[in-house]
Amino acid sequence: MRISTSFFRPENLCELRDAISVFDGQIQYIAGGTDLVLNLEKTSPDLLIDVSRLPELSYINVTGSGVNIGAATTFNMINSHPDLPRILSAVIDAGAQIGSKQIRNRATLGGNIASAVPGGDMLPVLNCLDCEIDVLRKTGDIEKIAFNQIIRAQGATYLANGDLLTNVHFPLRSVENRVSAFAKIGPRETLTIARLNASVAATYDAATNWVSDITIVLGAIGPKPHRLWEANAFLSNRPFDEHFVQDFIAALENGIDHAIQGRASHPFKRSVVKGLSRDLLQSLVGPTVSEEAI
Amino acid sequence: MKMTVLLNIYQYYDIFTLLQSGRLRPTNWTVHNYSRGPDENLCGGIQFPQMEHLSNNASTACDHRETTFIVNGETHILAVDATEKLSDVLRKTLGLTGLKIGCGEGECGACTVLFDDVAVNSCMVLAFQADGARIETIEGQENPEGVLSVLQRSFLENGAVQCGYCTPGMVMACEGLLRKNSSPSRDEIRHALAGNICRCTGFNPIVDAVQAAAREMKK
Repeated sequence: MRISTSFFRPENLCELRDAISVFDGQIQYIAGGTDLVLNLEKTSPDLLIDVSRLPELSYINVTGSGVNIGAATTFNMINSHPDLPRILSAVIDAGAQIGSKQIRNRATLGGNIASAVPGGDMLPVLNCLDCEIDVLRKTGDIEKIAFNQIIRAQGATYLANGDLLTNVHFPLRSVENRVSAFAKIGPRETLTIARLNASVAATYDAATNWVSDITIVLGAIGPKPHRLWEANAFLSNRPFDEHFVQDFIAALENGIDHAIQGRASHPFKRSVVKGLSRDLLQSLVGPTVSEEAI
Repeated sequence: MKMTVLLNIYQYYDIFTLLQSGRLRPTNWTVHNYSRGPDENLCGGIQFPQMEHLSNNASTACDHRETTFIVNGETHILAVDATEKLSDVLRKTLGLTGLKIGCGEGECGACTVLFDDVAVNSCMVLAFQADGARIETIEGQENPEGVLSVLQRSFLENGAVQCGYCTPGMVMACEGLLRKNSSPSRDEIRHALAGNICRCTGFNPIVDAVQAAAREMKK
């Protein structure tokens, strides 16, 4: 980092908007800093702006049409929120497995997106739940962008200099029994960076044991989350039974084959995806997945 | 006043850090018995008659904005660089060497402090981000008369301290837990300590200590 880097800690969003609208240099936002501080040497901003304590970026609002979470909301705040709807189970599961308590007390939802680390636990979840991101431009305008259009490459996004993530919108479909889940595999049980993670969302009717409208997204197998577009066709509108479990595993194995065939990590990830699938389905529908089925 | 202290390898490092920063100015200090101690640890007796702490603001040459640090109830107004980490300001500028910088990347938890009552890794917080926040370190846990906190005493009584390197971070992480949860289960304590690595004491006595402290606090 250049020596001339300055810092700025705005009191509110208006102050920040005024500052970035007239600043011509390279801007770097910092919130929790749990990724950025480790990589400060690689960055060279003219101005570091702390957004971690902006009240306008730290909130959780549950409405009838969806859930809005501020970009500077920490994972600990998300995990301890009492009223998140069931469809956001994957968000809670992923948030609870990120880093350690100390990291979750600092790390933010927006930071997980802006860092664009391939192993980012929240990335497959945001893709799976079709999230929409609000971006504050330097002009002062707020633009809504689909999450899928944010990440460009490993550690890089399509955000321009000065663009700030402000809000993550989780749309709620007007369908009952909508559920979601997240699971990860890493070298340790806790405080671990995912070697493989995944999120699934589906409509599951426990009374009829029926699955429909399923979305599966794999993470940590490329620069962006990898959505299994074809899975919905043969995993939806069928009963949740052992055949479903086998097909679910096959879908994830095919996804890994498609994404990383030939890479050194391919055999490992193809092998562990069976256990990951079991964890996902147990989180999704409860402890009804028998060990024998997997 | 003369005092004799047994130091372990980490404490030697702390003293060198203070010497390097100019905050500790030993006058007429003598070192003896550098050979291995009776327990084969790299300990020795070190005798130094005087510690003179220099001015709080060691970075007056810096022309960056001033930042207000409220550390253990005391307010310090310091000029910090944009890239300075909170852990460095606490250790090198304020001389609070209780927290340790083990890994410097949020893996070991030895640098844990309380930031507005929640545990954070101070090596992953930039100093200017702490402007106006209440920071608590291990040094602030005992009362002004030097009486250890319930949690600190419990660590001692339950044998939860061996080499001591991880202990300040452990205590602060557990303090953060107990402020949110006054009677944590063993699983909850282990979960809260997932970001604190101990390589010699073992976690069982630490979990025992936290549970004993929680019971003591309820009395």
